[in-house]
Amino acid sequence: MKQLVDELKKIGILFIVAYAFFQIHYYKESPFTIVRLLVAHFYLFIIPGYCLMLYYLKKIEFPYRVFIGVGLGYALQGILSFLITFLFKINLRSYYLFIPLIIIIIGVYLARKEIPH
Amino acid sequence: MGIIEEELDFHINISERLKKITPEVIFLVIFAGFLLAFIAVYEGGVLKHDSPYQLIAGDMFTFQVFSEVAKDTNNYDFLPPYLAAGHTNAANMFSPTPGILVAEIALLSGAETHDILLHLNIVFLTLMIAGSYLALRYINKDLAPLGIPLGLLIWKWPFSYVINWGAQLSVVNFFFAVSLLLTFFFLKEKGMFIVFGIINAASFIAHGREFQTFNVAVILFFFIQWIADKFDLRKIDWHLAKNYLFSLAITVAVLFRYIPIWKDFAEGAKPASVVGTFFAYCPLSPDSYHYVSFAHLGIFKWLIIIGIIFALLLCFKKTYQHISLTFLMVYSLTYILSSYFCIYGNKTTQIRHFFPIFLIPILAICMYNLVILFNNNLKEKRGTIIIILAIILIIIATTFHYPKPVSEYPVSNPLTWEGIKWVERNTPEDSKVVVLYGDNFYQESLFYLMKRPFYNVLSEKYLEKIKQGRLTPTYNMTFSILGNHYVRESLFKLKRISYDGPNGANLKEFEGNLCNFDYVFSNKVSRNDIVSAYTQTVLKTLITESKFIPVFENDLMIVLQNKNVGGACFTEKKVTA
Repeated sequence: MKQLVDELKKIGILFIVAYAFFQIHYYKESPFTIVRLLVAHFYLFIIPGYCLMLYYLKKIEFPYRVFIGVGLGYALQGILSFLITFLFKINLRSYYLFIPLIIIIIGVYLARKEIPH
Repeated sequence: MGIIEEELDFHINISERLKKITPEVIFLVIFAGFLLAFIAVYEGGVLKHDSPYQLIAGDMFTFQVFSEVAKDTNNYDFLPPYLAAGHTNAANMFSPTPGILVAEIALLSGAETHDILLHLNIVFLTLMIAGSYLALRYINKDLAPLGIPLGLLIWKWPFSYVINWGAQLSVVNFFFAVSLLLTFFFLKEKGMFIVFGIINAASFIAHGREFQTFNVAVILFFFIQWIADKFDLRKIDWHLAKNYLFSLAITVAVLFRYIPIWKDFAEGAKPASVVGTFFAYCPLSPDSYHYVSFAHLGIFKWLIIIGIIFALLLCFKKTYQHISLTFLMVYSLTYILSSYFCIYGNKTTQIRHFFPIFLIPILAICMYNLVILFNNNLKEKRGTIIIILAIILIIIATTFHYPKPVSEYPVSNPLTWEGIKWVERNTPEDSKVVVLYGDNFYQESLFYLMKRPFYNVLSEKYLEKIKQGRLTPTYNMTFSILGNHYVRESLFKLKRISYDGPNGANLKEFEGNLCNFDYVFSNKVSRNDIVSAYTQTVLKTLITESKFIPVFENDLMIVLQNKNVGGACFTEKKVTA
């Protein structure tokens, strides 16, 4: 559990570093705009990808796991959004916010044995 | 605990934390600083702009259109009629992933799709550099800092073509390729083939071209292993090969929708021509605006050439303990090779714009071997020497390859954009719009963002009429179409369609009468006074001698509505310049 708590802290640090990076790049923009932008990236792609990769908590080191998770997050959100609209003929506005939530739940469920209590 | 003890504890914590700041962390902070300096030429310090900002080529607007389609559509089967000459059953075959990612970030962040388009390119290119760093770090910590200084060059022309000219699909795909690179290192882990298969599928539906190259690299890797093991099949890493094959099954399952497109492509292609183009050397003319060669790498080109020699030697060295290193080298070499051979016409060479990304491992391997060659007796100081060397490489990149500022509104501008948004919000969906003239109207795909079927008056023919002094309601124009030329007949059956039909949907140039359209969209002013005067006379004549009324205008442009579509129009007359 301690490992997971440490990792969540690292994800928090990652968010702060990303905020600092983009606040410098978009120096004329308000902090609220930057936070909202980062929430979009973290909620839609980065956190879901990280959670799915929790399954490899003990097998793959944090930086590699996070990066693969980031790739997986963007890939899965893109594919699922495409498939849902393609198969069920519904607009992505009506469901895109739920996909990450479901992925996060699935990720944590798959990793339940890997996370020591 | 007393105050002194508390202070002592605080100091101990600080010193422990400082110990965690390794040379690697210091290097990464320095690199991030330089990276920010390079990126600073883009976006003008602002995320949200009044109109598409720094988008230079028409393709960028095409990508924005498909992000808008992703936001609006309930059905990916068909293109919206405004992209398909009014057809309602034209198959949508455009790569969906990039548009979807842009649309979703735009929706949640509250920014426009054109802003997120540029933002996402910058994010993904930064992530590619980070991913390449991690891939090298996984093999050897000392390798990583030596490669990424090359990544800084991606922000400078001609490599920056991928940022704001027209390679967004490739950028998204290449990000997935770098993710796959790291995933491949762990492909033997239980279930990792699913992760690999999903990312590979996303890569395909982002852009097929780089997907193909990455998978050729994987196959070449196994082939090279086989050669290195003196053609002994038993020595191939079958566990890895099996997991790769399983991952392909996942990829194909996700891509079922593209079966009719593959089928159509296969039926249309002649085997001889496919083989011929695949193996044909494809030099790109240096006169071409997007020409890229090793020369653009400056001093780095010599290091890359040395690195390629090292990479080739490493590929055929029997180094199973460094299987990841071999794959990394094969990955870089395959992308170099494929960028010089025709697969998709001149688009083949477009991949060379990613030199600063996929050559990162080659630079790293070159520098690392040079360090060992000249510094083998100072192993304990190697880490420090490598960091110093990496910083020197960053300084070289900054001195010789720092990008120039990018023009703010090369195609669009807030006034034109205001008009485009007005048409989108205030006209019926089936309105036919004719785009008359504007100095900045040479990238017609900007006008797809009106989300109305539009006809485009050909500028050169328009200027000819001015030279001839003819004030006329008829001009040579084309129907602008952004769809693929297919109509879906059933789930797995597509039919090619011709737009030369009687419905006026004609890709070929034709002479059209302004009075046959619902709206005329035009600039009122031009940099050339004669063109300004002529255009204003045309617009005034449409209002006074035909049934047009101005419905929107600003300092630059005007939209006229036709109250008598297909009715009588003014007659041609002579005007004097």
